[in-house]
Amino acid sequence: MKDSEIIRRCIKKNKKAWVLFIQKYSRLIYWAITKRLSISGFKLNQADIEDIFQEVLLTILKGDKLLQLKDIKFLPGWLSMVASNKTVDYMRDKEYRKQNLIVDIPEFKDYSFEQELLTRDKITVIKNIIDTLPDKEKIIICLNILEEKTHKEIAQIMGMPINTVSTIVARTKEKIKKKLEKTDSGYVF
Amino acid sequence: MDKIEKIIKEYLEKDLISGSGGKTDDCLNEQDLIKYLKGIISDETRGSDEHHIASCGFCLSQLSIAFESQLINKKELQPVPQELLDKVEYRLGIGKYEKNKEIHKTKKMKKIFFLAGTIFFFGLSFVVPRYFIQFLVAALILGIRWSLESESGKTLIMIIDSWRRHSSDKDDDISRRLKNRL
Repeated sequence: MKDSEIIRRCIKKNKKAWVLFIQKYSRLIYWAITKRLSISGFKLNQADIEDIFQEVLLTILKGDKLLQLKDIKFLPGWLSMVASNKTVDYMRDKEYRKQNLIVDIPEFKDYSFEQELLTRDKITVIKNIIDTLPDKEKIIICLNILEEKTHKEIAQIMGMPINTVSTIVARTKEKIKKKLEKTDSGYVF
Repeated sequence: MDKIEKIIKEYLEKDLISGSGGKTDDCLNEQDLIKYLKGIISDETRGSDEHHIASCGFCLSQLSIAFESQLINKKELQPVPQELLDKVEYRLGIGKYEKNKEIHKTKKMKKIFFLAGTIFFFGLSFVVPRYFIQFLVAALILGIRWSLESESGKTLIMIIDSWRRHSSDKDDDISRRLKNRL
């Protein structure tokens, strides 16, 4: 049975179609849940994953969530975002959020007063540069550094030539590097 | 990842990821993000979407997850534990649980039918005295069918049978049945 037919029947609450839907997309939903938990810094707990998994499928199949899907071609992307969204809602309710997301950077572990001032300076420099970037360029930098996407992947996401992406990434990094060198002569990049 | 990237990453994480997963009420929904990803939006909408995404770690990661999900081979993903799938199917009342439910429903309908038939024919035998015996027999047959279908009837038959034979063979079975009813 075609995906479009499965979805059409699922919307009509056909239980056989529900079984097919689960067989086909349960792995993707499970993947999206674990992915969201790991990237958001939530504590991974098998019982929570199971609860979220059930909630996602109940919302999609028993609720009318599938009606929001406008085009079947986008089903995997849409489904993974729904699962990820539900994961955040669930975890927010349970208040499992880690207290401190960013602590494990070895360079800054042994803080001295001077080092702390140095770090603050660096953060200010980066903030000044990043905040003045146009929205598109900031997204590119975030996708590259935060989400660890390649230039090719970013080009596909943003719908722009790969050369433009590479230029923006290189230019921004260079700008930050130069400014940091000026601010802090102690750091060699 | 070089040193400069680590520093930028540290800043971006602090700047973009705040609160519960970074999600806010202003975040774009799945449909809007899909439209953005596929480029099926006007320039004006694209501009406002980008303005939000540029300062929202949650929407950015949603984009990233959606993009990755289009590329991965679903068969290579980690399989979902069968026990979990069973739980979902149970909650949705599908798969083998649907069959069990159907069987249970049919049994219940049969019992109701036999009981209603018994009462109907028993009453009818007094209303139409001409066919008194015929209706009474029909009521009796349906009554027996009802007692055979129902758990109480089955237990009663076992008790009578055991008492008639003066046998203690079925005592355990009867006790278990009565216990389960309680």
